[in-house]
Amino acid sequence: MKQEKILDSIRRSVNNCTPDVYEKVCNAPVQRMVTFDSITMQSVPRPKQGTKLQALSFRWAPVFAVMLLAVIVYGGWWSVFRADSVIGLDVNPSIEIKVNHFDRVLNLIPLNSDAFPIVEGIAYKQIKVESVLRAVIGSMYHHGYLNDPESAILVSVENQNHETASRLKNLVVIEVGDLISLAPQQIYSQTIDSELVKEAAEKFGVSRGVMNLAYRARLNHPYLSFEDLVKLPIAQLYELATYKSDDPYWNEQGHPFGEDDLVDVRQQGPFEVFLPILLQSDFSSEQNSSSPIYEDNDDYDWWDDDDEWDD
Amino acid sequence: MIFFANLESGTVKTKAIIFDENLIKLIGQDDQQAFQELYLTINSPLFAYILSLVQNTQDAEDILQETYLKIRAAAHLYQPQGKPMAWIFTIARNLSMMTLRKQKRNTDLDMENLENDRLFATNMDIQDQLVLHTLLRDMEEAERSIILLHAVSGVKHREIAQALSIPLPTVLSKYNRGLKKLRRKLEAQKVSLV
Repeated sequence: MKQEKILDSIRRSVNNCTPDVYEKVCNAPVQRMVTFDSITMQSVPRPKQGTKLQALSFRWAPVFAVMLLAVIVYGGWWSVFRADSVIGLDVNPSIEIKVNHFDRVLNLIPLNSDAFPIVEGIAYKQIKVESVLRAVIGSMYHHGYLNDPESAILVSVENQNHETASRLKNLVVIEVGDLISLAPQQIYSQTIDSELVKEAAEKFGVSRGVMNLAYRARLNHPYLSFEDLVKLPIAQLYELATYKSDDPYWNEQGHPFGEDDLVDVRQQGPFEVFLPILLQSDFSSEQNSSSPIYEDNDDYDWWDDDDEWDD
Repeated sequence: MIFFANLESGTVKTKAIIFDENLIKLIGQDDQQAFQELYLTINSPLFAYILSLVQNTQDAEDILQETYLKIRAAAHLYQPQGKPMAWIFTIARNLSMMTLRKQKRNTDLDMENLENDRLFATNMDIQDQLVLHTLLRDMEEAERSIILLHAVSGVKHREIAQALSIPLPTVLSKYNRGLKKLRRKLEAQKVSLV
């Protein structure tokens, strides 16, 4: 039996008995209600749960969207256009490479007159740091640097995050090592995380890497001035930074930072030179202008006034 | 807006009949034309619905009249909510339940009462009588209502769900299950429809 036949049968029977009550109900007297009674009560639609919250969300949604967009845009800008690390290359010409969070170069800065012809013509904007390094090292070769077997190159990486600095330093050292592997060059590397080095480097007009080494050399050889130290070739500066003075006075006192924090790169490869925090007081801007620490005065106690070394 | 189908013998011709909520508002202002339009639109499905509840044509007719009177008396209080038919069906259902309670009658009628009903005193085909009798006696209330509304006026399941405030899946489920059950019952009774 088909369903359509059943439905037709039901329709026929109900239509047969559906009464026509129009005349009765149309003309019957009706008293208008003042309010709904229990029979005619109209159901009140139930408000959906979370309506207030949804309304609040909809009201503030544009604000949240704009704030989120601003955070994303600012975060993107921060990552792409802000210098996250500074790489220093020192041979004799000193070059500074500023890179962003994604290891792309933002700026290539010659720090002395010798460096200007080296960086000239090198495209670097938003290019991977490895590519720029190859171009810089190649340009150094082209201009006659790094050909001397006695020459050395200092790689310095500055970043507040030590892990990032170490990662980038290793990356740069590997790249530089590959490029100059034919010649037995000396590659020194270090990470820098002190703002004081930056200030002192700007004062002396040298790279931060050289300034950091000069700090170490001055620690071992306090009778040398910073002005003389920063002018030394990298290899000699390294020698002074690595080996402390033969002066029996200093040997008797002992090295203030221990014997093991400097490593001979020629024996163990690239090493890190850690900037002693104790030096911070020596390079405040006020002291640098008139401080006698730059004078060749053997009697001067450059450790300041605590008389630690005067006994 | 509700669409009803106009079923004619043998073929199903759907005819869209607009049921505007404004009709209720006009009836509240004693607009007889609006009332007539409403009556012509809903009389058949409304009676079918009441019949599915009370299972008795006499009671169904009384409740049908009373429903119209209630509509006229309360139309001016009606607040548009997009479901005017649901309001009318609610009135009809409340009146039906009140009637059943007054009569202290079980909704399941016995065969004797049904046979004495006016429904079966007409010149209706005996097979059609058996089908309707089986529907009213053996089906559950919701199944009766849904099948009757769909069969008599061709109301779409979606509109039935809206008018009875039942979820659409429930309407579809009860309709199909009820129709299958009805067919099995009719086949057991060896009812043959032309």
